[in-house]
Amino acid sequence: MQHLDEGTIHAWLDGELPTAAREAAEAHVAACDECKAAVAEARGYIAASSRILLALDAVPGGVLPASTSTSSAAARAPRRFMISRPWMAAAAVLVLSTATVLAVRPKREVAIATVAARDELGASRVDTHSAANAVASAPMTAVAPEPAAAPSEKAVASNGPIARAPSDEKNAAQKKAERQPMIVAQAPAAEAPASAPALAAPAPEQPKAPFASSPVAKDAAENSAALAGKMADSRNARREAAADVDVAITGRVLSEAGAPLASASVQLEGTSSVTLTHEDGRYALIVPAARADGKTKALVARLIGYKAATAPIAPAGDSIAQDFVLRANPIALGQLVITGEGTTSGVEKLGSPIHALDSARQEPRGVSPVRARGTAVSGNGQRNGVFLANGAFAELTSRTSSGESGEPVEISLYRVGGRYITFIDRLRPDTTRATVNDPVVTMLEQKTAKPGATINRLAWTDIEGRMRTLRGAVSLEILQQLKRALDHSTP
Amino acid sequence: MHDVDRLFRAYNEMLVRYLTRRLGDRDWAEEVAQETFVRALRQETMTNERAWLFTVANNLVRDEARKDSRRRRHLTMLYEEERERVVEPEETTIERAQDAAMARAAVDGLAERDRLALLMKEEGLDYSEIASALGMSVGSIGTTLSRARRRLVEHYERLQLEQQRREGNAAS
Repeated sequence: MQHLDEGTIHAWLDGELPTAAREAAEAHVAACDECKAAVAEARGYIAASSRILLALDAVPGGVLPASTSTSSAAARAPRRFMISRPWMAAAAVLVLSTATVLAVRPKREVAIATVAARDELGASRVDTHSAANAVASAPMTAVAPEPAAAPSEKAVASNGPIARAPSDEKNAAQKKAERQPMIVAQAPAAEAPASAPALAAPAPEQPKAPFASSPVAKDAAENSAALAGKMADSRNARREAAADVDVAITGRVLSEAGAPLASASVQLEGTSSVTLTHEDGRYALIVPAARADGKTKALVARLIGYKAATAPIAPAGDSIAQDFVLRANPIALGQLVITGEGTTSGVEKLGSPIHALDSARQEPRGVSPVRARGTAVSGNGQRNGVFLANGAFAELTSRTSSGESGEPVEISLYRVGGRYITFIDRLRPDTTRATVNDPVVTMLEQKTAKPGATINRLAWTDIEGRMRTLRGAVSLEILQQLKRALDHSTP
Repeated sequence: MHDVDRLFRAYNEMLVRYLTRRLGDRDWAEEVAQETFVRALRQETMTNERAWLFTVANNLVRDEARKDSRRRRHLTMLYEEERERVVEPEETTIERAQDAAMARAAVDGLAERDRLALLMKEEGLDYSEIASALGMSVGSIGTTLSRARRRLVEHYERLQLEQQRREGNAAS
C-alpha cells in the first residue's frame, strides 16, 4: 500500500480531507508504522510553526534591558519553543530570597478610546519603570525564574503591598470578559543589606489607579461604555497589565453661559496627551507616568467657535481637577485667510484657524460643507492639508493649479457625525505633529480632487482614496458615519 | 452595501494580526485592514467574506509595495507620531524581541506563497479559502502548508541554535 505523502498528512491533520480520503488515511496510518511516525512529525511541525508565528506578534518596541523581563505577558505565555532557552541567571537569582510584588489592576475601561490608549501606554511604561526600580539593586539579571508560577487569580504578596481599585470592578462588569490585566514584578530581595531600602521604596507607589478614584472619570467611563467596549474588542491583543502612577486630569469645559461643551479638545501642550469632552462637557485625560514629571505645562481646551483657554498645571500626584470656561469667538469663516510658509510648524499656524471657524456655520447634520479659505504655500502642485475633527483643525497648505505659491484656495470641511472631514492628497510632513495630536484624526486622501476644487458633497468616488490613521473603535465609528452620510447624499 | 459593522467586528482582529505577521509592521497592517473595510463598504456581494477580505488585503499589500518611496517615508513619519500614542502590544524584552526577530527571519525565509498560505491558515481560513485567495487549487494546499511548516520550523531551529551558541560563547 502506498504511503501517505506529507501534504495529505497535513491536510488530514488540518481536517481538510474529504470523507473517503480521510477514512483511507486513517486506515493506512493505523497499519503503517512509518506513516504513524510521519504523522507524529507533522503534528510537531504544525504545533511548532504555530508557536513560531505567535512570536511574531511581539513586535519589537522599546527594548528593555533583560533584567526587567518580568512582564505579565511573559508570565502568561511562557516560552514553549522546542529548544528552551537557558535561563542563564536563574540559578543565581533563585538562591536569593525573593520578594514578590503583585499588583492587580481590575479590568477597567476608560472614558474614550484615546484615553484608553493613553492609559495603556502609561500603564506599560509604568510596568517597565517599576520593574526597573524593583530590580535596581539586584546584583545581576533578575528574571522571573519561573514564569509559570507568576499568574494567579488573586493578588498574593509576600513582602510587597497589594492594591486594588474595587470601584472599577463594576465598570469592568459591563465589558467583555477579558483576561485579567495583571502585573507581576518579582524582585530579588536584599542580598546585601544596603540594597534593601532601595527595593522597598518604589514598590508602594506602583499600584495606584488614580483614574478609578475619580467619580467624574467613572461617570465618563459609563457614558462611553459602548465605545470602550468596541475598543476592547479590537484591542484585545494590546491589553497590557500594569500598575500605574499615571496622572488623571479631569474636569469640565463650559461655555460662558455655563452650558457644557461637547467635543472640545483638551490637550497637554507639548505632549500627545489629548482627549475630547463628552456631551456633558466632562473630560478625563490621562498623563502617562513617564510624562508626569511635575513640571508645569499648559493644559489647553479648544473648540471651534470658541477661544482656546489655557491653564497651567503640573502633572504630579494622582489626580488633578481643572475646569475651563471658553469664550465664544465668532469670527466669520468666510473672511479667514490662512497664510503660511513651508517652514512654519503646523502647531503655530493652528492658532487662528481653530478659532476662526464660526460655530454657526457648523451645520448640524449630514454632509454640508463648511468652507475654509486659505492661502497656498509652496508645494509641488498637489493639494495638501490636514483635516481632523472635533474642534481641532490642522494646517491647510495647498497650492493652486497655477502653481503659484500664496494664492487663495478654498477647501471644504464636511461634518460627518461629530467630525469634519475633507479630502486631501497627502500631508506635508511638517504638519503631521499637529494632526496626530488629535485623538480622532480623520483623514481621507483623495487623488482625484483638482487643485482648488470644492467638493460639494460626498460620494463614493470621493473616498476612492485612502483612509487611514483610524484605529479600532474609532475607525468603526467613522465607517458607520461615513456610511450614513453617504446613504443620505447619494442621489 | 455591506454590513460593515459586522464584518469589522468579525474580522478586524484576525486581519490585522495576519497582516502584522506578514508585514512586520502593525501600523501598516492596520492601514491595510482599514482600507480593506472601506472597500468592503462598496462591495455589493461577497460569496465568501473571509476569503474576499484576505484577497483584497493581499492585493492592497501588493499594490502598496509599488507605491513610491516618498509616500512610504511620509507614512513612516505619521506612524512614528501615532506610535507615541499607542501602546505596544506587550512589554518587549530582549528575549521576546529575539524570539520575534528569529521568527521574523524564519517567516521571511519562506517562499511568498508558502508564507501567505501558512499565515492565512493560522487565522483559521480553510483550504478552499486559502486556495481562492491565492489562486491555487485546493488540492495543492496541503503540500504547500506541509512544506511551509517544515521549512519554517527548520529555519527557526537553526537560528535558535546559532543564538544559543552565541550565548554560550558570551557566557564562557
